[in-house]
Amino acid sequence: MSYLVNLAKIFVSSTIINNIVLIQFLALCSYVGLTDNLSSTLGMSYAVIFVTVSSGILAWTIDHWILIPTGLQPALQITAFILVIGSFVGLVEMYLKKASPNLYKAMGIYLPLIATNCLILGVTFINSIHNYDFIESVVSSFGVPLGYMLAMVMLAGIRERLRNSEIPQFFKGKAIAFMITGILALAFLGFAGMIK
Amino acid sequence: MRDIIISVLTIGGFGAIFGLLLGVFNEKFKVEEDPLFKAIYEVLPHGECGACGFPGCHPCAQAIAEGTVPLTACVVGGDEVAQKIKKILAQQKAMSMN
Repeated sequence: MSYLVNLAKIFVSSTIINNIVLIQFLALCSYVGLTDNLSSTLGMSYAVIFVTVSSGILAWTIDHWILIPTGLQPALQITAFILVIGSFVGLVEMYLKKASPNLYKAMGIYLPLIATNCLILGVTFINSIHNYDFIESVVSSFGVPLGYMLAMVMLAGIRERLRNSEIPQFFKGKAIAFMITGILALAFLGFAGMIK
Repeated sequence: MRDIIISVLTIGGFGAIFGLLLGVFNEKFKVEEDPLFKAIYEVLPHGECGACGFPGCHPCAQAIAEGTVPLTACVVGGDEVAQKIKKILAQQKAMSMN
């Protein structure tokens, strides 16, 4: 029972309290770059969720079955994790190119850039640093990109409304997006301390 | 020495496995490509520099094939590449006339 409570705590903490974008300020490039319309935002979020969950699982397996027993854990972690992440990103890219060329075009350079997205490497390292077991790391690798999706959809919705509102000329585009991000981050700071 | 051998074997092994799997998936998810686009893509310098304003040579070649940008779009290739593309487009035109 307490194990389930622990899992719920990890999920809420990784999704909302330690939100990867708004509290830890990782993965900002795709966050600001891709939120001008809702459809590419959702496509990017689904791609990130798929890549993070699958590479989180595989990275945990490699970490615990190969790197720790052979004593290579700190030295080879980055190489092994990036290898896993890059392969999954290649897979997603091939699939999207076939399944929905329009989304592939809309996402442009940000799709291959998932490979260097700090969120995904960050999740694999969070799992490793907190010494999560297998199920805990699956929950954490699902919760973190869900928090990313939450932040992305929030910003995309606000930016769609901003299109019809009067904002000063020099704030248009990315500048106002960063200011909104700051305000959203302040709002998310209210969740801090909910879980000890 | 033991560490080096183990790391080369594990990371190399993973790289080989993933590369093989990606190759298989690449065959499976193959997209039928326009021969005109393919010919133009072959000619481009493949530097993926982005100087044309596209993320890489692939979308640039697509835009040239569709005619949305002029055939001088590749800045790095310069005149040489533009001439080659011109030849390809002329060939394509002659083929469609027949």
